[in-house]
This record gives sequence, structure tokens and C-alpha cells, in this order.
Amino acid sequence: MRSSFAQFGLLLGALFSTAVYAQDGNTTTNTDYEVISAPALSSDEIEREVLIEIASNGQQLVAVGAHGNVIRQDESGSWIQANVDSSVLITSVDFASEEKGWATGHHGVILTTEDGGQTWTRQLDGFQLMELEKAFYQKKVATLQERLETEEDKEVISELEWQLEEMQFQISNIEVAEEEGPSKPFLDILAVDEQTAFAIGAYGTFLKTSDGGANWQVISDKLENPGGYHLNAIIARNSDFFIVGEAGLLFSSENSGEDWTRLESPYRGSLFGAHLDNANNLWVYGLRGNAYVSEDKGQSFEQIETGTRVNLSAGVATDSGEQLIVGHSGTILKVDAALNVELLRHPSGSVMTDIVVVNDGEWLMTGRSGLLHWPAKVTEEEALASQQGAQ
Amino acid sequence: MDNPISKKPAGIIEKLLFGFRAPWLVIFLLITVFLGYNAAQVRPDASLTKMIPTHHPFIQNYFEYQDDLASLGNVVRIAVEHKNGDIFDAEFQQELQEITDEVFFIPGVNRSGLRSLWTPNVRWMEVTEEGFVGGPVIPDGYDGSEQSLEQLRTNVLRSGEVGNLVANNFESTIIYVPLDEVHPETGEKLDYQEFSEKLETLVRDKYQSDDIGIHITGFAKLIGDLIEGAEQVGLFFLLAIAITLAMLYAYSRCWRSTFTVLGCSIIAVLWQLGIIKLIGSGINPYSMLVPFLVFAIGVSHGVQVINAISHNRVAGFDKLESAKLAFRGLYVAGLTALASDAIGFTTLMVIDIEVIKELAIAASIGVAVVVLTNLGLLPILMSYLGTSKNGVEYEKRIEGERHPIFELFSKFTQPKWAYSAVAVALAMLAWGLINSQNMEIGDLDKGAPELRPDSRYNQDNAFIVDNYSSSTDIFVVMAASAPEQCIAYDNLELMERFSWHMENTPGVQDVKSVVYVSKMGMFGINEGNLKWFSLNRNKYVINASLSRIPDGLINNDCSMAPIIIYLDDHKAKTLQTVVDSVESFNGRYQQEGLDLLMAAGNSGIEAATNSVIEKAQHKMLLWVYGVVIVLCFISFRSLRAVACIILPLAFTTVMSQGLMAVLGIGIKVATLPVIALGVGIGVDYGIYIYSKVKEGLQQGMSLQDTYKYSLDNTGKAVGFTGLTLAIGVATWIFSPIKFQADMGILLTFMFLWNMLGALILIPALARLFRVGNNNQQ
Repeated sequence: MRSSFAQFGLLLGALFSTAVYAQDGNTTTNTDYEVISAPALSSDEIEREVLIEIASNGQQLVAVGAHGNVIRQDESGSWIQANVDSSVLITSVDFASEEKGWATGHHGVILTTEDGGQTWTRQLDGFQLMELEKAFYQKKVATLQERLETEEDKEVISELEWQLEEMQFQISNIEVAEEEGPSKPFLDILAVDEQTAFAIGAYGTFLKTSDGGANWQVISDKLENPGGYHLNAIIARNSDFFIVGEAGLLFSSENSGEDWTRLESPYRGSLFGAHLDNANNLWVYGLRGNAYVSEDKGQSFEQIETGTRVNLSAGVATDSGEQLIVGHSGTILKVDAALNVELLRHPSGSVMTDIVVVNDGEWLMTGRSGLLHWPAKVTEEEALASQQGAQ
Repeated sequence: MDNPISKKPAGIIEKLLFGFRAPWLVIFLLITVFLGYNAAQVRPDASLTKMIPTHHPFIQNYFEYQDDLASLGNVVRIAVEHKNGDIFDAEFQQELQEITDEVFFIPGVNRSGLRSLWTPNVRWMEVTEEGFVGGPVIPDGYDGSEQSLEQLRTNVLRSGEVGNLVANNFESTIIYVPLDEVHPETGEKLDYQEFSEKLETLVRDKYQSDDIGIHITGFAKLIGDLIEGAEQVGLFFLLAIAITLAMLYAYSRCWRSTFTVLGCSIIAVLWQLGIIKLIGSGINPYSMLVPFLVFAIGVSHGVQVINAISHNRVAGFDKLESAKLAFRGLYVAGLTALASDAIGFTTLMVIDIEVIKELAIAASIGVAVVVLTNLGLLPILMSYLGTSKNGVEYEKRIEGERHPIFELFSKFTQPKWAYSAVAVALAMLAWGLINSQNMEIGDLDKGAPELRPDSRYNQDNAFIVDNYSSSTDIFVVMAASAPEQCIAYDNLELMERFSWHMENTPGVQDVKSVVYVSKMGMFGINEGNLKWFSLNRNKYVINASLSRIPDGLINNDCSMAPIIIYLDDHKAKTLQTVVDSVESFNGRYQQEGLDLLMAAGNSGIEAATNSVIEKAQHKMLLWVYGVVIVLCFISFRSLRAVACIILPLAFTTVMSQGLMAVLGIGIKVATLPVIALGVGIGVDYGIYIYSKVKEGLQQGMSLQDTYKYSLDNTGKAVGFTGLTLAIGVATWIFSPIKFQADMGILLTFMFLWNMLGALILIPALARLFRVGNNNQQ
């Protein structure tokens, strides 16, 4: 008998020891590589890799894109690579001043620069974003529960219960995501001044900082977005702010982003971009060549006969009063003051995502094939890039 | 006229051989019939696995996933070109449709994978407010009208096939033909040669015209062309026989001797092929060289025999006695020379590449066979036939007069001539050394290196590379994980980093893998918004992004995903840079559960081959020279003799390396054995000449007289041997297969140069080293 007990004990010990061993094994499977914190590689290929946005700090142009790539144009006009402490796809860039700027990316990354774009450091990542959002929803839950305790109107109670369920659903979503890691990208950033910035992203993510980025607040409850649709672009002039997004989402704020109203959208498909022209007209555009202009801050819209069915991504107003809107298949729309459209096609045929005016009639675009020029410079590299972009 | 050899007693071998001449003849006849029957069944085969170093870790990794990678590689591309316009033309489209149908029915084609503008799986797609819409690129109700052609153009543009199926200039379009290695119904293996021929007759010959151009590339076509080219080599063999026949007659003026030598040498080839068949070793495009060598070696030794016999006939001996004496005088030198050949060839076994081993085995067997046929059968036959009266008279006439060329060669024993010859040789050696520094490993030409740069295959290849966004130099890294883990986020993200790391490696054009498909999928499911062109951590999102993954980018149990790296070229330096870059990445990022394994793809395999060759080249030289030096030392027991024989060989080796650099021939599977063959055979000349020199010196002659004596006895035969060997391999220079041509050029050069080196440098070096001074009176 004793011997069989001893054997049993040995067996048990062996089982435990293997269990412990297996756990040790699991802890070491953590990867050394994390895209959020891996510094961007130095590369000669950036100008031909995916670039998403291009912005000016008042002195220089800065373009951002895949693999944590940021390039900036020096005095001689050549492009040099910035130091970036992340390798995520960077989706937007905006400057508050010559020195201070922000950029956003996938995996919940927000980067900032204090030296005009030479070095970029992480202010927020998706893990922190999940904590922020969890705290945000937990606070909401607490408030709702408090109100439920005192509330007596049955209709209000059922409404509050519905909201509570929604909040708890959001929290359990975050808890699931905590295991996999952050999956939400930011899609656009608006730098208001050196202290203030707004970041928007997937599934209605909406953040604000008022202290230069040291702290970020979740403010997604300021938008009426029960479907949790993606927010694609945020723009502002003076105190007029606008956000466009998936499924025709359109919001405006008249007090610098404090309070937001949902506007009636001219289009039920996704809007990818928006800009304000020199006369403060609001331009919005998106899927399948749809573009609209509003002279009354988004209250009413006029549709533009674009003559194309490709996606339109971003636009800019020129000094001479024209609008330039870029999109897929090398498409550039040139819209004059009378809303006549001239359809230009970049020979690369590539997907384009942003455009800036360098000189009169001379533009720079970003996109699937990196930096593109107008008038098109078809160098050997661009020809190659165009072939790749067309795939 | 006395013959010193007649004073030697007959050896036991000679007694055995000449004592039972008739039984020997019967035995030889029976063996020849048996081996000849087997030889007739030898077929050339071009198996890829034999051409690569199977024990190299890259190749081991490749073998592990070979089946998973098959669907990736085994594809034929047929570019159909409209020579007088673009592809949006009714007549052109009709032809294209017919060709597509034709290809569909060729056995071996994977019909569901076949893609052309006219197959329903080539579609355009667009994101709308409701989601994806799309359709086949050939519009519904296509009727060849202006309108439907315009619709076709629109569909092609939005299909994303420009650069893939449709040329960047819209003047040609590709039919993409994946092949089934094994027929799914019959289980038969794909016959590359037959498939390649079908493409020629059913597609190229039938549809090529002034208006339509056909360009075909792909592994199956390449192998087909290689086998076709290899078969042409049979014709070269006939040519080599015809030239040798003429030379033999010019040399001996005796038809009997001529045909006996030729016959014995052909018998040697039959035996060699028969034995190869029996031991189960095949003949490949590389070892095809061996029958030529065996034939040439047979002829060269046969010439020594008939040369000696006619000498003896002139000296007045009868047929039998002449043959006996010839055998007695030659078999030691002959055996030494052939043994050094055979051992020289076996040193090739140190190279871990099957085709080279097969070549080594075949060549060693061939040489062993030559010992029997041309030192055994040939003297017996000649003891019956004898040199014809015509031959004896010719020999008598020329024996008395000394050939002016030999007068010239014998001058190299004089100090003035000797030193000048050595000085010239040193100058040339310097040239060789300087140039050989530029010698490169691997294949240097564009396109398929097996074929000539201007071959039709390579022209077709260049057409497709120029007009489409594709490189044909592909290096595949296999991302291996646990089953079901190949698209786990952590693995994909590291593969993404790896891809970007590789894209930043010089010589890399592009990198594609499941990562790229996932990013494109994210871009697609997010309504074509490029801001989503990134991997996502959520596994359901990853699965959704990969819903349209093409064949071959992940394997069946999702334990491996190939990362395909497109290169600028396949030069050894480029490949080495890529290999180093992969290694440095692996050194920096270790992730449990994911191994980035090299290497597959034509360039990956070539990188492995190069590394094996680079290591083997010095090893092989050490072995072959070591063996030859030892053999020479055993034969002559004198370091000076060894130096006199080996230095001219080394000189030729360096010169041929210089020549390779100048001609742009790299060190590769085909050219590596050439040096061993050149040295192994080249040493024969030195052995024959020096054995006569030794004989002369023993008789107390001066060096110059000794050398004259030596030239009188073997000089003519050595010169003749050099020429026959050179002619045997020179026909290869015209082979449609590039590496055979390279082998032909180098061997021809080495055989001729070794001959001249032996004739000029041996006496010069003998003078320099004061050989024979002690014996001078």
C-alpha cells in the first residue's frame, strides 16, 4: 500500500512539475518584436513605399506612411528620414507650429515631435488606449448605475438600462482585446495649438489632449455615433470644426470641438476626406467618386459632377481658387469656382491619399507608390513604382 | 633498328593476354553485346534534385516543404503579343480565346488554375455603397464591337491585372498555366518534354504569325528545351567520330589501324554506358560529356598502341610480335596515365552535388574500361590484322626524316630557349593570376543560365520581364510555424518586419507573401481606404483579410508560408547579400514558434549551390593535384620529375581560370569538374613524355638528345592525342545548352594548352632544374 502511495505521489509531483515547466515555457514565447515599440528601420526605399499623408510645419514638408516611416524635405529639396520610435503604419500628420506636431498610426499609436519633425516619440499606444477606454466606460457604468438607483420614470429606466448594457458590452469588448492586443487604428489628427489636439479613429474612437499630449482624454461620447462607425477625417478653421466618417457620418462643432452636432449627410456611403476652401466652403468626398460642397457650414450640400467612380481620399484648395481632390487610379480632380471639373490622371495609375501644392501648378501627392509629382516626373523609379502600385 | 623493349622479358599479363587470344576475343564480344544492349536503353534525364547539393541546409529545408511549394513554382506563362497594335482588337481577342481553349486541353494543365482574359476566374472588382461588386473582365454579351472592346479595356484597368496578366504597354497578354506535377486522375507524372513539345506544336507553330507573337517561359518549358538540346548532343558525337576518323587515317595511312582504334574506342563508350545503366546511375546533361571523353581517351591511347606497332613492323617484327612488344612497352605508362585519370576523376566525389558525382563515377568507369579495350582488346585485334602495307610504308618513309616542329620543340632543352620559354610562361602566368582574381562563382548571364542568352527561351523570358512587372530570379524564405499558426498575428507581424528588412537589401526588387495579401485584404474590406493598409491583431479580421488568398502562399495545415523575394539578378554577389541579410535578421529577431528558413526558389537553390561550390573548389584542386603528384612521384621517384610534369599543368589551370574570368564564365556545377578533368587527363602527356626522357637518360644521352629521342617516340602521339581530345570536346562549343558550351570551351583550351605546356615546358623546366646533368658525358 505504502509503496503505491509513494508512486502516486511521484506521479503527482511529475504532473505538477510538468505543469510548472509548461507555464515557464509559455512565458518565454513572448516575442521580442513588437511593432508598436520597434524603431523604424533606416531605408532608402521610403519615397517609393506606401505614404499616407503629407503636411507642412510652415517651413518644411513632412510625409508619413508604412513601417513608421516619416520623411521630411530639407533646404536642398531632398528627402531625409526622421527618427521614429515605432514601426506602425502612420495614418496622419499635423503641425501646431514650426516645432510641435503630432502623428497617428495603427495599434493606437500617437506620436509627437518637438523639433519640427526630426524625431518622433510615442505619447500613446493601443495598450494605454484600452486602459483609457476601459476607465472611460467604467466611469460611465458607475454614473448610469447611480442614476438608475434614483430614477423612477420607467421609460427613462429602460433607456438607461439599454445604455448600461451597451457600456458593459464595450468593456467586455476591451477585455477580449486585452488578450489579443490593440487592434484599433487612429485615422486622423488635428493639431489646434501646441497644447491642444484631437485624434479620431476606427469604431468611433475620439480623443483630445489639452496639455501637449501628456494626457489624452476619451471624448467619443461627444459624437452621436451609436453604430460605432469609423471616423475618417477631422478639419478646422477658427472655431468651426468638422468630422467625416464611414456611412456618410458628418459632425460639426462651432465652439472649437467642445460640443458636436450630427449633420444630415448628403451621402450614405463612406466619406474619406474633407477640406475648407478659401471662402470657407466645406468640401467632403468619399466612395465612388462622390464629392459635395457646402456654402453654409454643412447645412446643405451641392453634389459635384466628378465624372469618375473611383474613391476620393483627400483634397486641398489652391491660391487661385481651385480645388484639387485626389483618389484611386491616379485620379486628380481639378474643380474651378464654377464647379466645373477637369479630370487629370497621374500616369502611375496609383492609389493616391493626399496632395499639397508646392508651387503654382506643381503638386506633390502621397499614396500606394510613395511620393508622386505633378506634372508627372516619370523617372525609372516612378515607372517601377507605378507598376507595383497598379497591382 | 633495335628496340630496347624487345630485350625485356614478357610479363605475366602479356602471357595471359596473348596466350589465349581467341577466348579473349569471344569474351570481349559477349560483354560488348550484353553491355551494348543495356547502353541502348540509356535515356538522358534532367532531374532538378540531381543538380543541387542535397545535403546543404537550404536544400534540406526546401525538401521539407517541396510539396507545399510546388503550386507556387510550376507554372508556364504564355505571352500572346499583338505585333501591330494593342490587345483591344476583335481579331486578336478571338485568337487569344482560341489559344486559351487549346491550352486548356493540353494534358498536365491544372484547368481550374488556368488564367487568361478569357477564363472566368479573371475578374474586376469594385467597392460600392453596398459592398463589393464585380464580374469577369470579358463583358457579358461580348461581340467584338467597338463598344464591348471599350468595356473590356475598362474592366482590365479595374481588374488590377495590368503588369500581371496584361503587359504594362497593353500590347500583349499572358495566359497563366499552372501545371499538375502528377495527373490528378491517372496519377501519371508530368512528362516535361512531351508537354513542352505540345506547347510548340499546338500553340507556337499554330498561332505565331506576322500579327501574333508567342512567348513561352516556365520551368517545364525550360526542362523541355534542355532535354531537346541534350538530344542534339548525340549528333555532335557522330561529328566527333567523323573528324577523328579522318585524323586517324591521316596519321596512320592505314584503314585497318584506323577502324580498329575507332572500333575499340566506341566499344569503350558502349561498355561505359552499359555499366552506368546497370548500376542505376543515369546520364544527365553534365555527364553526357563523359562518352566524348572516354572516346577521346580511348583514341589517344589507341594511337600510342598502333604507333608502337607500326614502329615495330618497320623494325621487322611480325604482326604478333609487334603487338606484343607494343603492349610490353606501353602498358606501364598507359596504366599509370589511365590510373591518374581515373583517380583524378574520383576526386570530384568530394563535391556534394549528384550530377558531379555521377560524372565522376561515369568518367572513372569509362577510363577503367579504356584500359581493357584499348590496352587489351586493341593489341589482340592488331596482332591478327597487323598494320597494312600502306601504313608500314608510310611509317618507314617518315621515320627517317625528323619533323621540323619536333626540331623546334627539342630546342627548348637549350638554356637560351628554355629560359625564354619559362619567362614567357611566367608572364602569361601573371596574366592568368591577375584575371583569375575576377573569377566569379555562379551564373552570370540574365535569364535561364542553363541556356544561351540568345536562345529562344531566354528571348521569350526577356520579353516577359521587360513588359510585365515580374522578375524571374526568385529567392524564397519559408516561414515555418506550428500547424494552424502560419497566420497568427505575432508571426505575420514578424514576417512583415522581415519583408521590409529584405526590401531594403540591395539587389531586392520586391517581396511578396501572405502578409502582403492580408494588407491588401485590409485595404479591400475597408472600402479601399489606404489608411488600413496594415496588419491587424484580431484573428477574425486577419481571416477576413485573407479570404481571397491565392494558391501556394500558405500550405495545407498552415504551418508554412513562403516569403517570395524578387531579385535584380542571380549573380553570386547578389545572392550572398540576400543570404547575409536574412541571417542578420534571424540573428536580431528570434521568435519562438516562427523560423525563417532559407531557401527555395531558383535563386535560393543557386545560393546553396554557390556556397557548396565555393567551398569545394579549393578542396577539389588540392585533391586532384595531391593525387597526381603522388602518382608521378611513385612512377618517377624524383621530385624534379614531379616538378617538370606538374608545373605546366598548374600553369594551364591558372590560365584557364583567367580565361573564365575574361569570357565571363562563372565557377558552377558545370565548370567546376572541368579543371579536375583537364588536370587528370593533361597529366598523361607529361607522363608519356617524361617516361621516354627517363629512358633516354638511363641510356646516358644528353638532355637534348634525350628529348629528341622522346619526341621521336611519343611526340607525334602526344600531339595527336591533344588534338583528338580537343576535337572530341570542341564539338560541345556548339551545344544549345550554355553550360555544355562552357565546358566545351574550357576543356578544349585545357587539352590544347596542356599539350603545348608538356611539349615546351617539360624540356625547358628539365633544363632549368638541371635534370640529366649528372648523366651528361
